[in-house]
Amino acid sequence: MADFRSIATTNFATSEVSSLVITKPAGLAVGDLMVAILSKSDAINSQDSDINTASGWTLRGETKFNDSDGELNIQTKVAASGDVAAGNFTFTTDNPCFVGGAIVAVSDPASGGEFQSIEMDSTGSVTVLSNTSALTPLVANTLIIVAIASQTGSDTTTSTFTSTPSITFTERADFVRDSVQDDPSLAIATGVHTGTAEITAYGATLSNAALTASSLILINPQVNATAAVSPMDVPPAINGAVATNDVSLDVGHMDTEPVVNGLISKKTPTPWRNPDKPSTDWDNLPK
Amino acid sequence: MANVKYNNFGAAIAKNDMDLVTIKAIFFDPSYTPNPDTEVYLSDVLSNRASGTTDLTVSSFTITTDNTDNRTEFDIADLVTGVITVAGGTNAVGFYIDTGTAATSEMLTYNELLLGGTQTTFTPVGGTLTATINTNGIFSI
Repeated sequence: MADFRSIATTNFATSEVSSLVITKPAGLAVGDLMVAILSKSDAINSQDSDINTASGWTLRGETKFNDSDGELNIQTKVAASGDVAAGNFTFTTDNPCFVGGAIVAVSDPASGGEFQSIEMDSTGSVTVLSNTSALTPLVANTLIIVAIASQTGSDTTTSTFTSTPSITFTERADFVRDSVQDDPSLAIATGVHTGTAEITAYGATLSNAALTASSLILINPQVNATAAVSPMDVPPAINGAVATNDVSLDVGHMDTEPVVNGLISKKTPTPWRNPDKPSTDWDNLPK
Repeated sequence: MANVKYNNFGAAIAKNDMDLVTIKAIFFDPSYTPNPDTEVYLSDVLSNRASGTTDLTVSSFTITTDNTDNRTEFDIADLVTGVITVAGGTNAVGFYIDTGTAATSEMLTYNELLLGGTQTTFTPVGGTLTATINTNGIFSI
């Protein structure tokens, strides 16, 4: 199950700089997902600065707030052996600014599908932050990270992280740089969503009314599934054969009394065949 | 949904030497409802392949005579995927005779994936999916 391992933070610079160094999170192991949560504040009327995506890292989301003087930037990277051996990580900006941030190390994330989704929001000045969201975990026990950057004229701290449905959050970092432009602050909390219901809202309470940029991040736990394949029994249909006897037919005997018509006989006069007929010619003499 | 025998099953079994053909398994998206009348080839069902999965070539295909149940059983080794993420999940597996061309690979059966005897949607995330084959095989006739 993906779990929070550790966090390393670097507070906002006290002067405008173009790089930020964050130490390696304690206990970082190969395969951990590193989530860099970075924020910056620009001095008044200075050129808007942007946080660069570090080499080997993947930008997951960024949003500007406070008229672009502020930015919240999220990058991730799966820790390799070189990262575990490293002492720290460096991020840069395109222009000098007051930049700060943190790296959250997540243990046992889903291999190859660690990062699930992210939502970025920004608001005007609020004390109770409540953002609507529409992120749905793929599976139960998804690790949730909430990051809230705020800027105001007063030091702001963040507490009471909330969500719908309710998730128990643990605050992992909450730091503010006093006496620099807009007193930027950054707070980070993590929790585990034990169900799979859509997260429809998240937020927190600020100690002062402040402009905010916030992020809701879902990290997939590794899930192996085991299913049973239902066997298919295909009953054969056996149709009876229509049989025909192979026999010699006995031709029916027709016993019919024949009608025998009697012959009509006609007696033929017996010709005189006396060979001894007298040859004498007879004369018809007058009677 | 219940197990389904595609209507072409009999013809496919009859005209092929099942010992020699390549049988593959396709994991289906849970939204898929098979139509055994109209679906004959892999190309007919391909759009329902569960996202994030690839078809597996089955191994250890054996044909045995079951004199107790008076039938012939077709068995294979358990199906084990590589590391996959199936965002929408999968709840069934189909078997087909692979020709290398979807339009000529004949579908055989649609088999439910069960958990505790009930068809269930499984969602591996950055992990493996193991489909355990029943002692009666994948199908019998």
